[in-house]
This record gives sequence, structure tokens and C-alpha cells, in this order.
Amino acid sequence: MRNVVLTRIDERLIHGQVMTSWLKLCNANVILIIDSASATNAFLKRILFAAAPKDVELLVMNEVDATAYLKEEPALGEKVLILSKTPGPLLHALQNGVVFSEIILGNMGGGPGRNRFNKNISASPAEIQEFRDITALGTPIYCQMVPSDSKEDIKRLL
Amino acid sequence: MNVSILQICLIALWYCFSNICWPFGSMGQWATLNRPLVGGLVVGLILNDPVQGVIIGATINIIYLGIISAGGSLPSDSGMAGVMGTAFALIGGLDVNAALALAVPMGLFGSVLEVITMTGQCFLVPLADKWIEEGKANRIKLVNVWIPYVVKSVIRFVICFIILYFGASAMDNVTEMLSGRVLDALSVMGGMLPAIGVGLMLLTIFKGRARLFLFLGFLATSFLGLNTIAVALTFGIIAVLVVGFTPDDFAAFSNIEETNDATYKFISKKDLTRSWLNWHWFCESCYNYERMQGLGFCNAMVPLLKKIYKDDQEALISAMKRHSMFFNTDHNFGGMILGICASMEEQRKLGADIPDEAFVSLKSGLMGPCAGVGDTLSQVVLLPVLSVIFINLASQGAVWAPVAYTVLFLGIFYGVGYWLLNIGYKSGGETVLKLMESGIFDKVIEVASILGCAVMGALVCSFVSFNWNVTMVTEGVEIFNLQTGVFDAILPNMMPLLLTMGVYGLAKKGVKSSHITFATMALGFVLGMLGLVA
Repeated sequence: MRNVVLTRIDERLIHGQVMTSWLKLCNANVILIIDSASATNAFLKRILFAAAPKDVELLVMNEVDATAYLKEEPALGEKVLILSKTPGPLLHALQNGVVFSEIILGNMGGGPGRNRFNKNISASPAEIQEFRDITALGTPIYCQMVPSDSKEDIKRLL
Repeated sequence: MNVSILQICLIALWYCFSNICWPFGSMGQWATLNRPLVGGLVVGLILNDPVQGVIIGATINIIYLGIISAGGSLPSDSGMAGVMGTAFALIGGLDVNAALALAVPMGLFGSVLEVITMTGQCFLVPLADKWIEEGKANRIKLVNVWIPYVVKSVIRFVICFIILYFGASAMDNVTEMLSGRVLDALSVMGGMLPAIGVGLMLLTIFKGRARLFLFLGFLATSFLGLNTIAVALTFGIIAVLVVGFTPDDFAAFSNIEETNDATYKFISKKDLTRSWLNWHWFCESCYNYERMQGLGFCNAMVPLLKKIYKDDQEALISAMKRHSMFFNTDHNFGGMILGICASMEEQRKLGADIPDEAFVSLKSGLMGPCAGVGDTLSQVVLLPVLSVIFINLASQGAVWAPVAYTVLFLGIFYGVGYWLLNIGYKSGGETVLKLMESGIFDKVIEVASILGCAVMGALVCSFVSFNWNVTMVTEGVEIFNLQTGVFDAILPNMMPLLLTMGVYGLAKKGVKSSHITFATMALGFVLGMLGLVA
């Protein structure tokens, strides 16, 4: 297993000051983005590379490749920060043998088909089910936008 | 000081006005009229003491230097702190430090109001969705602008009026009650509070080699006695030299090609500019947790969409839908994305094969990275650097400083914004990407971090105060003084520096800024009451 220091769901992936505060807190040196759209779309991928801090290694993968990567042996001194837009890719990894100590749920925006269930988190019924499946596998999910916010267990909200 | 009902109304009105986004735009207004620096001047004018108002406002502003609005979380309402802190200080005849002690709780109270507002505005989203579904394009402005503005302003006015009315009449008793030791303790506490602003500011700029410059700036002021402006100018030049620029860095700017050869087919230049202004004015008038700036973006696009799809109601509805999705980014880069979307909508109408998915992935792909670069440029580079220079002037009683600050900020901010809009519309996403990849923004940010750290070091010396009041006296002769004999002998202003670094350390660990504020206040009050610090 890779040495994962933070697993986070955030619709905006690498988002400026918010990311800065998390990177500062957990000192990650690898950012793994699990998002099929970004992995296949050259334009989106370039945006992410342009936005990532220069002293951090950035990986953009689909959920299958990411799962295989996470199961590899850790490199010396690596600290991986995982970012995903939705719970789906993380559930896939969990179901295929990857272990996360916890998942931090930052922000999922609203739109057609999604209902708001906490301050800044909206989800579709399918995504709600994915949250349930993740917690059923024993991985806790906490809502927390920035490190200075207090953690809120998603179990009380579902 | 006696204060009239008219004066109270004017102050409350100003607070409401500084919180809406007209006429200077959402970020423009927040970064200028809403600053304690500017609020202090206005409250001072209303209460017939502009000089003292500016001095108090400038000092309150220091506590809020490090306040950054990122991802929709705002830890404190600096506007409320500035207006109320200045008002109560002038009414009660308090000194600057005691004013700080009053301003901070008001700022925290204001941030609660903001959370309530953003939650309340979520209830407007279904209404907007319904009207979009029905194709009622003209009602977007009603739900995005008028309803939230009127409701918010009435609530804010009433709350502000009540606090000022009862607060002002209580002030006389309070100042009597607070005489002697308690007032001294409040002053000690107020003297320590600017450390919070500096410490939180460091959270974003204290990194890499910039860290060293905090201490250089500190030493330059502490030993050489340079003032903040001297430090800013000197270290600005040093920062440019240290980071090092080559002509290649600017190549991305000179190579901007206007790739859009179908400009202004359905919309005019005037339409685009109007939409851009609408974006800046109202992108956060209905800011809410569900869509953030989503409705604001739709509201700005509506006049353009109505022209492009004037003969096709169904296409108009689906366009309004795709532009009212969750959206949140820096305002200037948001204007650029508006330009890109406008040109894409025109091309789509001309027959280009651009699916809905292309808009969604472009907007959701760009908003995060653009917020990263844009928020940093405007809120970590432009705002604090300009603030610090004019705070320094204002704290010496320069009443023109807040006005000059406002003019300069708006000029630079909208200059860059208009340039970005045109790049977005005429050159498209590819050019923007090349600009971001060129690394020029990273270099600008590093220059600002170095300059910022040096200035923060200077601010520690000139605005944070912490002097031990521990002496030993034998037969009327002072034989030991902890402050002058020990601390000043080793390193003047050592305690303010330690206090600031303590705030930074706690903030870095993820401790809430409100908890740090309470802890600092408690520490200051206790040390002041015990007479250990004066």
C-alpha cells in the first residue's frame, strides 16, 4: 500500500487556498487525482498540471489505474494526497483491496439531480448510496472544508 | 460623545451599503468599502472626527490582513468589526487598543450573520431553477439580485441599528466601569491583537525562501528603525532581484493570438462589457452554499444568451440551465471564463459541434485552478500589499489614505480583469492555459510572498505591542527591569515576534482563527489584570 496521508472529495480538485492549507497540514509530496474525465481529456489534464504546486508530483489517473497504483509498495518518504470529485472512484478502490483510514468530504456542488444535504455538499441518490457503501465497508467519512473547520461524521447526515 | 439617531442610521446604512456589491462589484466592494480602513474614515466623518476614525480603522484593519475568502468560508466579518469598533471607540472616547478589543467580537458576530445569509439563500435556488425551466429569463435578476439584496439589507440595517442604539447609550456607563485596571488590561489585550492579523497572513506567504525575509524585515525595523513603507520599497526591489525575471517569462504575454475569428456575430462589444460588469456586480449577490456563484454566472450570461438564442426558446432554456450549475472561482478569472463561454455559445449557434458536456467540463475544470491563481493574486498579493502601505499612512492620521487605497485597488483590479475578459473572448481557453503554464504567475506570487513576509516583519515591530512590566526596586532605585534590562537588550520587539509566530504555529496546525483570537484576548487580559504586562 502507498503511504496515503489524506483522502479528500472536492468537486474543484486542486483549488487554490483550500488546497494550500491541506498541503501545509499534511506535507504531501504526491497528489493523486482519480478522475476519468481529467485523465482522458488533454485540456483538463493540462489545467491540473498548470495549477498544481511545482514542488509536488502530480498524478492523474482513472479509477482502475489509481487502484493498481495505490496497492504498490510505497517509495521512500512519499506522502500521497488523494483527490476525487465524487465518492465513486474511492468506493471502487476500497472494493478492490485499498484501505483508507478516513475520507474527508470537502465540497460537492448542487445541480439538477443533486440535493443539498449539508452546508456545501449536494449529492445525487446514487452518490448517497456510494457514501453508505463506503461507511458500510468501515471507512469513516467526515465533512470538513478547511483544516480549521470541525469534522462532522457523515453518518449523522445520511 | 453624544450621538444622534440620524448618525446611528447613517452608520447602519453605510454598513449595509458596504456589504452589497454595487457599484464597485463583489470583490471590489469587499476589498475597499468593506475594509476597516475605509469604514473608519466614513464612521469618523459621520461622527465628526475623521482623523481619529481613520487612525482607529487602520489599526483594526491590521487584525484582518490575513482574512482570505477561499472556498466560501470567511472566518470573520471585517466590515462589521471596522464600523462598530470605530463607532464605539469614538462614542466612548476610547484609545486605539481598547477599540481593537471591542472590534474583534463584533467581527465574529458578523461572520455568523454571513453563514445564516448563505444558508438562507439556498432556498432561492429552487425558485431560480423553476423560472429557468419555464424560460423566464427576465426573472433571473429578481431572484439573483433584488430579493437577496432587499432582504439582507433590511436585516443588516435592523441589527446594526439595534447594536449601535443600545451600545451607544451603554457606552457612558461602560467607560466609567472600565476605568483603571480593566481599561489598562483591555489596552494590553488590544496591543496584542494585531499579531493575529500578521500570523494568519503568514499562513499563506510564509513558505520556501520567503521565510527568511520575515526576519530580515523584522530586523530592519527593530534595529535600523525603517518604517513600513521603506521596508516595502526596499524589499520589493530585493524580491524582484531574488526571484529573477528573464524576457522569456513575458513571452507568453506577447504571444497572445486572437484565435477567435468569429467575434461579435450575435453580440456587440457593449453587450459583452455589460455582461462582464453584471458578473462583477452580482456574481455573489445570491452567494449560497449550493451553487455558490452559479446563479450569478447565469445572471451575467442571460443578456448574451437572449441575443444569441432570440428565436429559439428551447435552446435558451437549456443554455440557462448549463450556466446555472455550481460555480465558484476568482472574480477576475471568472470574467475570463465568461468571455470564453460567450464565444463558445456564439460558435455553437453558428453551427459548431459543441456539446453541453464541453461547457460543463471547461467551467468545472477551470474554476478550481483559476481560483487558486486568481485568489492568490488579488487577495494575497494586491490587497494586503496595498493595504499595508495605506494603513501605515492612515495610522499617522492621513485622511486621504483610504480614498487613495480604494482608487488604486479598483484601478489595478479592473484593469487586469478587463484584459482577462478580452483574452477569454478573443483567444479562448488555450491561451489562458499557456499563460498559466508559462510560470509567470508563480514568479509574481513569489515576489509578493517575499515582499509580504518582509512587510509583516516590519508590522510586528510597529503595531504589535507586548512590554513586560516586571521590575525590582530597592530603596527607591530600580535594580532590575525585565523589559529594558533583558528583552530589549537581547532583541527589541522579541515578544511581539514570538507572539506572532505562536499565532502562525497554531493556525498552521489547523486551530480555528476564532479560537486563536479568544486565546490571545484571554492571555492579554489576564497578563494586563495581573500587571505583568503594560
